[in-house]
Amino acid sequence: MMAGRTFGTKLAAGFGLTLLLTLLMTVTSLAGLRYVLHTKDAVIDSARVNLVGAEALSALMESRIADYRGYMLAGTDEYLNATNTDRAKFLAQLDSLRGSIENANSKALLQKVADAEAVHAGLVSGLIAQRAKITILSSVAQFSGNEEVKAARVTVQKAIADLIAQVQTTVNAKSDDSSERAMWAMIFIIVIGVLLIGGAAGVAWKLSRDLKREVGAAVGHIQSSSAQLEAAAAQQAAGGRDQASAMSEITTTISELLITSRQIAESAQRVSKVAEETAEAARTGDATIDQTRASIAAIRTQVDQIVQHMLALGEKSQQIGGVVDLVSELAEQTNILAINATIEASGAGEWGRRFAVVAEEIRKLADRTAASAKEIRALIEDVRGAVNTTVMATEIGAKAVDSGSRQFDDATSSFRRIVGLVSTTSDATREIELSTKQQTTAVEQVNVAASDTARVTRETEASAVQTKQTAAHLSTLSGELLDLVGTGRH
Amino acid sequence: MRQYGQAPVLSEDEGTGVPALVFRAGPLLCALRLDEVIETMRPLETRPLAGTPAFVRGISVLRGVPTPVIDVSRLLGGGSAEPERYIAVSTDRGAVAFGTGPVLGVRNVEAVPSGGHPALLGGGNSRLVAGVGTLGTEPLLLLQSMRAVPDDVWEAAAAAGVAT
Repeated sequence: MMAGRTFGTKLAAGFGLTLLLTLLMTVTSLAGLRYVLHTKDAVIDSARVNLVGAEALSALMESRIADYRGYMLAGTDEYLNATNTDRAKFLAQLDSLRGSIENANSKALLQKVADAEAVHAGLVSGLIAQRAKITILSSVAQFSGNEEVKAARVTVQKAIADLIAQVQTTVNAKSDDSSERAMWAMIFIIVIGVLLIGGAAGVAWKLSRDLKREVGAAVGHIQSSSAQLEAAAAQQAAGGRDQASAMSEITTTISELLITSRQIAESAQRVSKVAEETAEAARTGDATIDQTRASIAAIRTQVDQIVQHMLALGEKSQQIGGVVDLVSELAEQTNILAINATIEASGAGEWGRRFAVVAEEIRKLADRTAASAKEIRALIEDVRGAVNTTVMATEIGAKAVDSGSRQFDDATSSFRRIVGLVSTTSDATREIELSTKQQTTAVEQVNVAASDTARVTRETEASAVQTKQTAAHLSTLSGELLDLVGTGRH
Repeated sequence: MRQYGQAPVLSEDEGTGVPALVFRAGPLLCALRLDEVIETMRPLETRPLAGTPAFVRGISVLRGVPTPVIDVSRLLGGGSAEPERYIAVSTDRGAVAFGTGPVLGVRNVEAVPSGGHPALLGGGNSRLVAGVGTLGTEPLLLLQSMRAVPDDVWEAAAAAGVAT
C-alpha cells in the first residue's frame, strides 16, 4: 500500500499512526480513568453521604438521647430545645438520606429507622411531658415508661446500626465493584498499551526495513554515482586540461587569424583603391573609345568614297576601252584598206608603185596604231583588273572596317561592361574591406572570448578536481551512511 | 649560187622575187602572188556547202557573187583554225575566198618552184604550192590559187549560186 510513496511520507505516516495510537491510548486511558474516577466518586459519595449520614443519624440520636436525658435530669429548657433541635436535625438527616440512598434494603432499613425513631420520639415526648410536671426530680422512678423508652431506644439504635451495617455493606460492595472496574480499566489500558507498543514496533520495523532497503539502495546508488561522478570529474579534469591547451592553441591561431584578417583588410583597401583608379581609367578610356568610334566612322566613309571612286575609275576605263576598241577597229580597217590599196597599186604600174609605198606606210601606221591600241587595251585591262582588285580589296577593307567597327562595338560594350564590373568589383571590394574590418572586430571579440573561455576552462578544470575530491568524499560518506543504515558496504 | 634545198630568202629589196601577199595559215607562213589577189577583207558570213571536201568551209557572197571559201590551214594539213581574214583570189573560174590567219603584208617573195622537192611539193595538194621559200627563219609556201578549188566545188558553188 505504501509502495511508491516517499520515505518522508512513510515516516510521516508511521509517526502519524504512532501518534494516533498514542492519542487513542491517551483517550482510552482518560476514559478509563474517568470511568474509574466516576465509580470511585460513587463509592466515596456513598461512603461520605450515606455512611456518614447513617453515622450522623447515630450521633444525632446519641446527642438527642443525651440532651433529653439532660432535660430529664435538669429540666431546663436548654436541654429541651437541644433535644428538639437534635430531633429536627435527625429528621433532616433522615430526609437527606432518603434522597441519597438508592439501595432498596437500605431504604427499607432507613424507613425502619424512621419508624423506630417515631416510636421513640413519641415515648420521649411522654417522658418530657412527665418531667415538665415534676419540679424536683429525686428519682428516676418518678417517670413511667422507662422500659418502653429503653426498648424504643434500643430499637432505634439497632435500626440505625443495621442501617449503618447495610450502608457499610453497600459501600463495600461498590468499592469492590469500583476496584474491579478499575482493574478492568487497567487491563484495557495495558492491552491498548501493548497494542500501541506493538504498532509502534511494527511501524518502527517497517520504517527501519524501508530505511534499510530504500535508503540503503539510494545510498548505494549515491555511492556508485559518486564513484561515477568521481571518474567523470577525473575525466572532466583531464578534458579540461586538454581543452585548456586546445584553447591556448586556438587563442594563438586566432591571433594569427587576426593578423591575417588585418592584412586582408589592408589588401582589400588597396584593391579598392586600384579598382577606383581602374574605374577612373575606364572612364577616361570611354572618351577615347568615342573618339576612336568617330575615327572608324570617318574611315568607313573614306573607304566608301574610295570604292565609289574606284567604280567610277572602272567605268572610265571601260569607256576608254570602248574608244580603244574603236581605234583598234579603225586601225584594222585602215590595215585592210592599206593592203588592198597596195594590191590595187601593184597592178597600176609605176604610179601604182609609188602609191603602194604610201599605202604600205599607212599600213605600217595602222599596224602601229593597232599595236598601240592592243597595248592600251592590255593596259586598260590591267587598270580594270587593278581597279577590280582595289575595289574588292577596298570592299574587303570596308567589310573589315565594318567587322572591326562591330568588334569595336563589342569591345566597347565589353569595355563598358568591364567598367560596370570594375564598379561592381569596387563596391564588392569595399564591402569586402568593410566585412573584413567587421570580421577583424569579430575575431578580436572571439579572441577575447577564447581567452575568457581558456580562463573558464582552467577554472572548470579546478572545479573538476574539486568535484572529484567532493565525489570521493561523497563516496566515503555514502559508505558510512550505508554502515549507519545497516546495509553495509556494497 | 643556191644549192638544192636551200630556200630562197624573202627580201624587202625591190627587184628581187615576186611581190606577194604574205599571211599565216595556222602554223604555216604562206604567200600569194599579188596579181592573183583581188582584195583582203574581214571574214564574211559563210554557209557550209554539202558534198564538198573538208577544206572547203562553204560559200560566201563577195560583192554580190557567191564565192567558195577555202580554209587554207586545213587545205595545207595544218588543222582547222578560225579565219581572221578572207583573201579574194582570182582564178580561171572566178573569184575564190581563202580563209587565212593574219595578213602580214606585201613582200617580194623568191621561191623555188614546187617541182624542186618531191617531199614538199608532192601529194594531193602539190598543185596548190607553187614554190617554197623562207621569211626570216620560217619556211614560206608560195601558193597558186587557180589549182586550189576542185571542179565539183565549183559545180556545187554554181548550184548554190543559182539557188540563191
